[in-house]
Formats: sequence, structure tokens, C-alpha cells
Amino acid sequence: MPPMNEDETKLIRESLYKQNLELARLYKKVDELNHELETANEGQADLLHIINHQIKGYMTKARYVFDALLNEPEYGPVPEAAKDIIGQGYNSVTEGVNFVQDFLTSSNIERGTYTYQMEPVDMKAVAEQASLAQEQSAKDKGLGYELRIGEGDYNMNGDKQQLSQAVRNLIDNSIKYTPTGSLQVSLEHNGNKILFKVKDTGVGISDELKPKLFTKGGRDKDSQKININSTGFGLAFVKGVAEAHKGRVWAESAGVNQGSTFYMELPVK
Amino acid sequence: MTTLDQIAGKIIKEQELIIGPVAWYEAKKVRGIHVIDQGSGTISIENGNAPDVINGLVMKYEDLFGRASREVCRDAAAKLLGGLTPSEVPSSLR
Repeated sequence: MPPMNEDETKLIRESLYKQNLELARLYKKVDELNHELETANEGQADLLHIINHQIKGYMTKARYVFDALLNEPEYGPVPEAAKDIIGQGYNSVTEGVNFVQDFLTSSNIERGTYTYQMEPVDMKAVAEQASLAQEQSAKDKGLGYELRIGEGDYNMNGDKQQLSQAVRNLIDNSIKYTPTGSLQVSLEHNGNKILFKVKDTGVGISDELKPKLFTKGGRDKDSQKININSTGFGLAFVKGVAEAHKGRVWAESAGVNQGSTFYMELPVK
Repeated sequence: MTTLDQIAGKIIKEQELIIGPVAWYEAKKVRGIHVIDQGSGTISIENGNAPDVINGLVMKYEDLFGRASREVCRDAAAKLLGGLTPSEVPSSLR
């Protein structure tokens, strides 16, 4: 091939410049669209936050009404035939209030507007209490359930309520995504760290889901087929709580239908 | 920093988005361009008539990359030209 002359190299240089210019313009456009999308998402999140606050208000009032009907003598005795349906209403609304509260707390944690109430906490007691309620849910579903707590001191400084919720979320997540088999829940004290672990024989974690597992809304495309109430907020909440305590969360799975192990590690001091 | 200093910096930064570090390599060859801080695009025009130095910078890019590069220079400078009197505007940017 003969060497190129000056005109030919200039032509190639100019052509490459035009291509780069086009790419730079496209990049700028994508950047602008990303910015617009972020702004729109923030607006939507704000709106969702306000709506959830309102819903929580209405539901709290409804719960009060059910509670008053059942327990306040001034409304007279509740007919025996109505007690069950009013009780169901009360339980359902209570679940709804808790669900919305989780969403709001998770959202506040993500926004950095949540104030943690730090105090001395015994993580052993937290794990045992959370486990007590969740064990029944697992057994109701026909799953095996085991809690193991190793020797050691599990006292740390933290927000007891949020740590309890994080532990409940991790166990609850495994129960929901384990159709058959069992859960092994454990608490260990290694050096200056407390490790809470939930190992299940459930649906596992796909490679696609792994990077977004602990992010807000981070759920699999099939998540709602298995767990109809999947919000994708439960694990994001756990991550927010762990990080607020200078800890970390992670999960391991050999793949789909291979089970999963979820970890929450918290420093003692 | 004068408006013409800012225009020179803006032009080079804009060219950098398209051709990368070559934009700075070529700009430094233009007589009168003194780079103070490449990261922030801070330029000082020294030793010469500032509009002529800008013309030299625009011509440098145009010689290498053709007419399209002159349009990029004009777009980059457009918002800053309002700070100049008509006689101060470099001919390459009119």
C-alpha cells in the first residue's frame, strides 16, 4: 500500500473529528436525559413519600376505629358474630400501617433524613426475639427452622428498633423466597464483629439480580411470582441500617434454585 | 482573567471533549497561549494581541480537523462573546 499524502491524512483526520464530534454530542444528550430522569425520579419519590404519609394517617385512624370497637366500653358490646371480622380488619390494617411505616423508614434512611436512636443493644436478645415470631411463619409454611447463637458477648451500640427490623427483614426475605426446605439462622461473635447470617434452601440469586439485590426496588423480574408482596425495599432497608452502624451486608448464592446465604456484619465498637 | 482568556479556555475544553488530550497538546503550540491549570481550563493569553491569539487557536484546530472544528469553537465561545465590544470579537468567531 503506497504511503498516504498530506491531503489524504487530513481527510481522514477531519472524518474522525466529525465522528468524535457526533459521539460527543450524543454523550452530552444522554447526560442531559440522565439528569432529567434523575430529577423526574426524585419528584416521583417525593410524591410517593407524601402519598404514603397520607395513607399511613388514614390507616392509623382506621386501626383506632377497629381497636375502639373491640375494646372501648363506650361503644357498647360487640356482637359475637362481628368480633371475628372486626378482629380481621384490625389485623389487616395493622399490617398495612407496618408496611407503610417500613417504606417510609426505608425511604428516610436512603435520603439520609432518618435519625437513629443509638443506645446499648444486646444483639443476642434482638436475634432471639425476632426469631421467635419468624420461626412460626417458617413453620406455618412447612419449612425447617434453626437458630444458632455462638458463645460470646453480643452487646453493642445501636438503634434497637431498626436493628430488630433489619434482622426480621433478613429472615422474612428468606422465608418468602424458600418454597421448600429450611432456614438456618445464626449469630456469631468474631473478634470485634457480630455476624448475623441467614442460610436458606430457596430460589437462590441470579447473576442478573446480584448487583442490585440490596438496592431500593432491587428485585428479580420473577420476584412477585414467588412473593406477591415483594416491594424490593426490604433488603435496601437492611443495607441502610447496617451501614448506619458502620457495618455491611452481602449475600452469596451458587445461582438460581441453589439457595442463598445473607450476611449482616456489625462492628462491636 | 479576561473574557478572552475565558474564551480560549472554553474552546480548548470543548475540543478536549471531542479529541481528548490532543486539544491541549495542540493549544500549547499556539503562540501566546499559556496554560495555568489544565483541569479547570484556566488560560492566560500572553505576549500578543489577544483576539489574534484566539484566531491562531481556532486556525490551529481548523487546519488539523477541518471546518467542523471551527463551528465547535464558535459554539463554545458564543455565550461569552456578549462580554466583548464588537471590535474585540476575534474574526474567527464572528
